[in-house]
Amino acid sequence: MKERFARLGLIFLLGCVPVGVAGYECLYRPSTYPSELRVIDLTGVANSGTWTLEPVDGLNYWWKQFEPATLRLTLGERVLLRFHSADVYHQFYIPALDFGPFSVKPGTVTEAELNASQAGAFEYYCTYMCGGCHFYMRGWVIVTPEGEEPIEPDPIQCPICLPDFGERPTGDSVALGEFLYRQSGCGTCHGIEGEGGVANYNYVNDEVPSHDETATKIFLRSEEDAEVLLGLIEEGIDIGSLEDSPDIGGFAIVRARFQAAVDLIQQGKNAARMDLEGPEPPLQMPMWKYKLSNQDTAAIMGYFVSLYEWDEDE
Amino acid sequence: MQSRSSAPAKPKAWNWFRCVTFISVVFCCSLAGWFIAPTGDGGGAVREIEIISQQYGFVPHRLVVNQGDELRLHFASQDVVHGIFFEGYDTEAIVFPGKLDFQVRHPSVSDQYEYQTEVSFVVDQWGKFRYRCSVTCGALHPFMQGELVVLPNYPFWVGSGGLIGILLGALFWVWTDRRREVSPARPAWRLDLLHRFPVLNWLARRRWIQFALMAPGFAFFLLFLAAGFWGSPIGSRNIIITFVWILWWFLLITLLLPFGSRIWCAACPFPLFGDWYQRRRLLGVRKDVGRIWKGFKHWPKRFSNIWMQNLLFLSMCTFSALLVTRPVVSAFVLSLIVVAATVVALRFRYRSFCNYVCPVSGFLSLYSMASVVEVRPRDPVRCDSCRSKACRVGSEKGWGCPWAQTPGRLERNNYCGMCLECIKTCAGENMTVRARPFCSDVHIERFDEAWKAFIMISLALVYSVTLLGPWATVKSWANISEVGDWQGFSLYALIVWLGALAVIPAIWALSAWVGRALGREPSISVKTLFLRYSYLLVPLGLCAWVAFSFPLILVNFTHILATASDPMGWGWDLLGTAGISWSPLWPEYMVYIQIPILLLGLLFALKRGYGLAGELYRDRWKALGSLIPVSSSCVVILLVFLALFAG
Ligand code: HEC
Ligand SMILES: [Cu+2]
Repeated sequence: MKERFARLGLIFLLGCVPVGVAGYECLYRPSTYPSELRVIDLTGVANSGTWTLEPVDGLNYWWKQFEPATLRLTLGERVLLRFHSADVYHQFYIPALDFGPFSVKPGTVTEAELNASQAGAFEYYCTYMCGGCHFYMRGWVIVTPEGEEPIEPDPIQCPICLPDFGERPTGDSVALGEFLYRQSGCGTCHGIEGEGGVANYNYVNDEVPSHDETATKIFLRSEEDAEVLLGLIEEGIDIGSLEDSPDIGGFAIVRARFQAAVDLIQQGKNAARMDLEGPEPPLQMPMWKYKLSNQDTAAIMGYFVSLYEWDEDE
Repeated sequence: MQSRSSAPAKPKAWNWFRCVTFISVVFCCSLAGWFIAPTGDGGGAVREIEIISQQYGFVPHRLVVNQGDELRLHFASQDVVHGIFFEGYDTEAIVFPGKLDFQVRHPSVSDQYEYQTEVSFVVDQWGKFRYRCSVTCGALHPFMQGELVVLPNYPFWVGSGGLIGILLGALFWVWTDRRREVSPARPAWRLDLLHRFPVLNWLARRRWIQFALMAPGFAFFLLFLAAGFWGSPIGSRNIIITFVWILWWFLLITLLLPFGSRIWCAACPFPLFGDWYQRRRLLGVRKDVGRIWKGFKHWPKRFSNIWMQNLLFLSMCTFSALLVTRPVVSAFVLSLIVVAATVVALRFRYRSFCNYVCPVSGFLSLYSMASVVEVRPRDPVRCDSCRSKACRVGSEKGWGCPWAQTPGRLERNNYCGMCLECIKTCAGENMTVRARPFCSDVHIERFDEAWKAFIMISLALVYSVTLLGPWATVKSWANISEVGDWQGFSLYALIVWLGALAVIPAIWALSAWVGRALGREPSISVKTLFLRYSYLLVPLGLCAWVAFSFPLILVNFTHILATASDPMGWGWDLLGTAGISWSPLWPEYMVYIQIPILLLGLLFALKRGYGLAGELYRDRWKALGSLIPVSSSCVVILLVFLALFAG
């Protein structure tokens, strides 16, 4: 008799755990939100560089590449976004909807209500650097009027992060510059191979500057001058403090411009707003001084210089 | 009582005098420590310091400044968002990579953060303080820290003085020992708890008591598994990590083990199904209790020792940086243990898994020797004449000892799982639970047990370096799954294994060898000394582990509260504590807990050491000689701990 009690008790007790956990999560908790709100759980995953809709748990976190979320809403819909973090601090920001940025502290769930009051495709961003894949942490919120075909957004230039950037090249400084450019994620803002074309909402110039014209921006006059400059970088000479003029036309100004660009990369710069009252542009030039040495930065500048297509007749 | 033939007059006063002098010696040495502590250059300097955070450490990882200096700090991060919390100086910052300014707050003043590019304070308190990452920044976040040492570092020097003082005081103690012969450790007091507290007696005799401990434990275990597999991958937000590796570990090492011996083994849910299978009962006892082992095999003789536990524990601990930070790894390992416990129980008699395999059981066995309770016969003589041997084979009141012991002959706690079956089975009510002084079982007689002691002390050292130390490189070696630095990890593993299996044992062997020479008693072998004196590492090791465990709980207790409300890390708030923000409890006073514990460890090690020596050598000077090398090794080990905790 007692024995049977104990057995039942044990089974009941052990059964309580899964039933309790599942019941609380799947039945009770959803009932605490207003029924007209759609609840969407988004999890920030640093290793994949994504805000994802997939569940992230102990079992899949360590190996899985999570899919970036595309949020599809109908015009006029109200949704409750619940932001989780699977690892470190992230931020969620939709500048075009003036939504956020919401800081998402690991271990606490941040909730925010989004009103889909405007049709269109809006890009969302993570605006706290969260690791090697941070700059890829973008995606779309698509709001479609009831009954209409969903809008297809423009592709994002660097949609997924492939964290393996290979070996750091030695010797060739232009190759090193290119490697650092890719590895640091500069391309996600400045375009693949520095071509630009990346939109930056409410930024004075609309698009993040490109880097394929750096050679002229620092007032290099000819391909030969550029070669000399690249040679100096290759040798590891600090251009900014170079006293005697090498064989480069108008070296004083080239030096000043070059150094200014290096400083800008090292110090970072806030992107100025187009509409001063409007939301902050999501893409801000970060401060790189703790990640890139002076040498590294010079190598990247060399890479930029090498990207310029010189005209024959100049 | 010992013979006091040579000290006829006022032994009591004489002992008082010895005690007072002993304490004065310790006190004077500590005081000397105070006076020799380097004081730096008076302070008042303004120090401009840039602290860069990186997973999982700070650069610089150690700041040594003078009391009265003004620190002007700038923070930056190289990878992800980090925090930096200055113990004792009420300053916390959140540091964003790629940005020059960081958020600062003074927790006791306000919860609000302000953006700043510099934060400054005057270091007006001396001692060692840590700066810890305060924002979850990845797997090893809870261990990311740096050290701010404000000179003069009195706690460290006073503590070191205290350790030396105890050593000198012990010399004095031996010198003033007036006994002509050091007699074997005299029988110390015992308190029959079951006799004294009828409630305990009543409880101990209930058949349901163990089931009532195990069943809820198993329910919790299921919850932990669910959280580990399907809950948040963030360790500090997952109940399996906070409850198992912080709360349970802390309670186990500081309370259950020293004050309850292997009481955990009675409550441990892991063998629940194995026991059930073997007994076919959860509560009651079968009629054929004496014959339940038919069909079960004996555990092989070759493995009837704790070597397997030693090696399994060491292997498990080599991966501790994964185990204690990744919920899924913990869940996997714990499930493995349950499966193994059950499978072993299907084939083998008794609690073979617990006795010979379970990695936790090994150190419980070792340190239970230090515990202040024991299960013993009230009168061993009665057991000798007992015919029924019910404690061994069982009776209608209970099962025969599941740990394959003969309870009536118990002399040490090591292999008694405190299940209290013998208390129920003994017809003469001869078995009981007694309280006793700390460290009452003193005999280590097997190499496997000695090595357990070496392994445990080495691991305490290793953990104090990897988990409580400021060295990011070591952490990244240990953190193999994330960093993938196999070379570093191999080096780390090599150091751990060599240290535990070879270096510390070698030091002990050497000490025993020198000790034998100093003891001038050829009949006593090095082996005897080596085994006997390995016991000194029991009080020492236990105290070191306790001292190591305090920071874990005090720094992380908010995580325990938070996960109690949100076990899976899914955003629940069952008890209203889920939102509690991280704030360590008295972190700046940690060393004042740790140092006395270390001193206590040495005190007991030396005291019991002298007792052990006395058993071997009748002459106190010989005893002293044989003990000098191991005692010095103990002091050195504790100085290392002291340097890690407070230096
Ligand atoms: C998060 C987006 C982002 C990333 C990543 C990024 N930048 Fe920028 N960068 C910007 C923005 C926005 C500006 C424009 C700032 C301004 O308003 O002047 C800029 C400006 C620059 C400029 C000045 C260009 C000019 O013509 O004025 C240089 C040079 C530059 N970035 C180099 C780099 C390099 C090198 C890296 C990688 C190591 C990098 N950036 C990564 C967003 C980014
Ligand atoms: Cu991010």
